[in-house]
Amino acid sequence: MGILDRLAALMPGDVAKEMRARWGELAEVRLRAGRPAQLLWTGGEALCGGAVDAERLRRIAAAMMDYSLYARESELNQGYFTMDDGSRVGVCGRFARDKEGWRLTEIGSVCVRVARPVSGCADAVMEAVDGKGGLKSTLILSRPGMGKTTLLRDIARQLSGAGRRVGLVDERHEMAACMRGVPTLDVGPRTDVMDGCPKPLAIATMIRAMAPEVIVADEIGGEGDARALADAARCGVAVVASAHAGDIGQAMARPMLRAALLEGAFQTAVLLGSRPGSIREICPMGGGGAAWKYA
Amino acid sequence: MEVRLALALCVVLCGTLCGRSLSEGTRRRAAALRGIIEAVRRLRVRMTGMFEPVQGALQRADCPLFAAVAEAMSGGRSAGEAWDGIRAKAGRRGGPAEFLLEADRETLTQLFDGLGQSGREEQDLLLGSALESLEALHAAARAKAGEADRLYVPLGLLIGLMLALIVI
Repeated sequence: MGILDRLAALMPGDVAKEMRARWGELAEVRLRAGRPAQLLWTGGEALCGGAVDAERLRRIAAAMMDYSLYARESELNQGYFTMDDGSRVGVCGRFARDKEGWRLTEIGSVCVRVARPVSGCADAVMEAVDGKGGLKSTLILSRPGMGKTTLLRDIARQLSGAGRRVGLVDERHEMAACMRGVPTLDVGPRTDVMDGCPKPLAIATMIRAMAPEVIVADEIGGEGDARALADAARCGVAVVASAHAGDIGQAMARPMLRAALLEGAFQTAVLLGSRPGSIREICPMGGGGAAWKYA
Repeated sequence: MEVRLALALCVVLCGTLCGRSLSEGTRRRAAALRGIIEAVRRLRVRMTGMFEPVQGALQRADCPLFAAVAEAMSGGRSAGEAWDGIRAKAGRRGGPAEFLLEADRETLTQLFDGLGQSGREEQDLLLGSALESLEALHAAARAKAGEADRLYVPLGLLIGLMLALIVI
């Protein structure tokens, strides 16, 4: 059953109908207890159907988790979980503290971000990532929802297709959408995936065991990420990673990213634009070279 | 005379076998519960140790009943809904729950209703509690099977002997 059919089967009838009508462009489905569903697509959004009651919302969330809440517990306590196809579902609700930390105890709203691989979306940046000068460690920056993960996935696929040994660090299960360790999305024939593993551990393990030429990682900025990236660079392994920041200035304001940038972990920055998938600028970091600008 | 003796022997044997078959149901119930207990132990390891999703864990628990529930989950149902859907059919002749009594099925209902619906710690408690209940049911089933063997087999033998005397 494809993701559309699966999602539509869980939704109230009128919401499912609207979803099917807009599937080609649908970006998000948001459900909030006691309120109508909200569908978002490029350039628009709409509220549809009647109010979704709390019990229905709970059942939809349980079904999206394959009725295996315990298997998603650590993700849920961070406010999200990932469906089998790589779609990330953000979760809001009531949190409570127990002896192990904060736990989500009641779900009040969910946001399904539909995973949609876009083959070729990285064409414009490939010359900068792996051109005449060889592999360059590249940092992709944008605010949330602008297509960083989709771009990274295609970069991994293209690098792998061009003959590079790629190590993909997929901590949140979004890039490769692995099922029992096997990618279900196309990340290239020469790509090894560490699924669900914290980035510092995954990067160190991959370098030791899989001898990658390039490591691809999503949403760096956590503790230990900077050190792991610097270690990778010292081992001669290129890194292509993404981070939440509108520009390099904002990236420098984040302590963990600042550490990585100051250590010279990246040679190129790709800044995404204000529309999903648009590239605003590609610029070298650390001096020298021309910058490409896009509208 | 030899023919009558042979016939008498057959009658005694038939009587004994009839007695044994009457106690067969209780023995099969005990064996079925044993199988389910082992499967719940495997399920516990897969779910709370390996964090495997419910449907896959049920499929790989090496138990026909659990495999049937896993298959019934394929339509997007929870374990509880799946069990509810197949419960009646599973209890019929030839079904994976054929020899289970209502109390056994009720314990399984409580297990399946809660499966996958909470965090790891709660799931571990649920599976532990189910194991305790099933072990108690199994102990009672074994005791009953022993009693049935002690009652029906000698009874069958006795009736066989009485009929054999008539034949002779």
